[in-house]
Amino acid sequence: MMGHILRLSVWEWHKLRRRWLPWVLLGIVVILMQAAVWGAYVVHRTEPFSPNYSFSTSDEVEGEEVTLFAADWTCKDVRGDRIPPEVEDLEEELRGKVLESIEEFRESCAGYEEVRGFTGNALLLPNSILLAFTLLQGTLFILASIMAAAALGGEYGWGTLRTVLTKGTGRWQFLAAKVAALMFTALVGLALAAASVALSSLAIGAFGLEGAALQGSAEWLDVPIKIGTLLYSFLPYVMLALLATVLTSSTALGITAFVVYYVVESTASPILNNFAWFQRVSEYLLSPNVTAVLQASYGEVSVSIDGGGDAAQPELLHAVLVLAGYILVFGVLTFLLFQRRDITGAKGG
Amino acid sequence: MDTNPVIQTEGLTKRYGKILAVDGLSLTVPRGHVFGLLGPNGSGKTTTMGMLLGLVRPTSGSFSLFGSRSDRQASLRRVGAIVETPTFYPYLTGRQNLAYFQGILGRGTARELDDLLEQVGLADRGNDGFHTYSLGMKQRLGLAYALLGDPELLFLDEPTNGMDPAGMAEMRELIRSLGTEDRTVFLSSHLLNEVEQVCDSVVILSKGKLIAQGSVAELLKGRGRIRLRTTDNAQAATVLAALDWVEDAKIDNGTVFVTAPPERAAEVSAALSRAEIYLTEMTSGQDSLENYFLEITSEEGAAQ
Repeated sequence: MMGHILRLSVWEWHKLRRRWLPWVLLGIVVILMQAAVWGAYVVHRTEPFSPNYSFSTSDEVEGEEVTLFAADWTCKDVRGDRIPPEVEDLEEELRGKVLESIEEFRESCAGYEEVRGFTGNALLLPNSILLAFTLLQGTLFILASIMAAAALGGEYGWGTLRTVLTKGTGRWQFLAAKVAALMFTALVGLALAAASVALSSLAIGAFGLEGAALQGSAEWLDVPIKIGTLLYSFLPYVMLALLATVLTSSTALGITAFVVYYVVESTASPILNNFAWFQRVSEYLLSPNVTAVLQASYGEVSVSIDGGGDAAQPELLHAVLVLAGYILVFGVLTFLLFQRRDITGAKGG
Repeated sequence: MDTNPVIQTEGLTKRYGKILAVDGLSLTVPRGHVFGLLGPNGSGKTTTMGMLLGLVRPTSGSFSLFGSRSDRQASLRRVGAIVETPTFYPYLTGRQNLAYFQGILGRGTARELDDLLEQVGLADRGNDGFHTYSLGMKQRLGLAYALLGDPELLFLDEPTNGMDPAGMAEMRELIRSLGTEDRTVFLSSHLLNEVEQVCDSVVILSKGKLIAQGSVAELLKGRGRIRLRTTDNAQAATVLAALDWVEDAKIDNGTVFVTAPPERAAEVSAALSRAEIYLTEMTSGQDSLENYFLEITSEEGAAQ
């Protein structure tokens, strides 16, 4: 039986990789991840958010106000022991006054330098991979669910379910193979996306990252853990997309039903969290528990993606069990519905 | 050799809300035949095939394939089928589609794919995308798919649909050659002349009910048709209708059509002579399955 499902999974994977959609979705993921990493690098390099300091001193000469020295500096100009070159040529008294101001400004830059050091570290391997996955996880859920709905919805649309099932393929075995192939495809996609981020990170490292440590502070082991938790978090969404597709026998309606649920839950939950009565309910919703599972695998790259509201994050074990519950409920409903429904000809969409 | 009937149904029924698509169908299909399933549109042919292939859940009743009621998957692995228009993955080529189905079946070789493509006349188009195929080519690929794994039972639903006359003749010959001692073909078609040429036995459905079953020869036995013109057609029809071995005699467009065994044409002539009615023209022959089908299904319709 397991051998049969494995064989079906391998052939489902063959079918999936010959479609355009997984490659298009992979392209979107890679582009977004590259945009995230290179965007973070440009911000790190150009420092558009650096605090500014304006220095100006003047004297009265023959009744007129004359500017003796004026300059605008950012934290970059005074970083470490650096002294702006224009200060070197000043008279000693004025120079001493300016250096005193620079020292005060340098102290006020400390907080910014700490954040900058962190973003620099986040661009180094393996932190950059974790950063990219963390920033894009919401998008990844949506893309994985689109792929799931399209993989099953296509069978309804083309009418190929009938062709598959009349060759002695059991319904639940076929669906199990579909889920396995989808998760394997997602794994390959995440691995390829991670590899693309790694290449960019190596290039960024070669350009030099001022203010960053030589090596990221996360462990390489955090990457497979992150991918594993992402895949686990995908599963309830994938099963939800499959359930919606089996219910509607259509890719488009399956994706729509999933997106509506995802958007409603993600937007309504933070608002409703402001009401005490809702916070107990919130502990059992999908998105807070997915967030809790994913935050446990951030490593050192802790970017908050909390939806807001005052609700406390569920405990990790609680979150893992709630997700397992969702996977089970959506999975059982999908399998039962798929098992019992009559299979008709092509639906065409 | 296994002597179990390949298909046996008992009271098989499918209801869609208020519509009774198949009504208590009981039939037995013996091994090694080309078996025809006939019926007007909406008579329940495709629903019956769907139930036997596990695509449609029966509302009530039961059936067995190869004598087994329990292990449907194992039974279906001995079956090949085309239901309505064959459907395949449009982004794969014909050969890749067959390779996929061969792969999930878990048996067969690349050589088998070549042979099948050759057998159905798609050898030179096997590497083209399925989305480029005409309806006739889809039917051919469907037949190749149905033959994957050398099945013992073939379900073919309108297999010549969309084919040109030469392709239809070729397909008929192929189907005829497939119904051998070890293999049974369960064919549904609305082309009655096709069924008459190809099938050994037929079942006729009307409004989901079985209304006739038997070999083509049995069903048409005694159903000859004699066509004649006389010096007094009205009187001729009256005289002939009174004979107990004549089933029917009616006039249409200046011709008397007599339903009677064709070998009794001489007795028709004699009976008319006795009544001083003289023949000006007479032809006789076996009734066609088409006439029989139209008659029996219209009678069934009128009875309801």
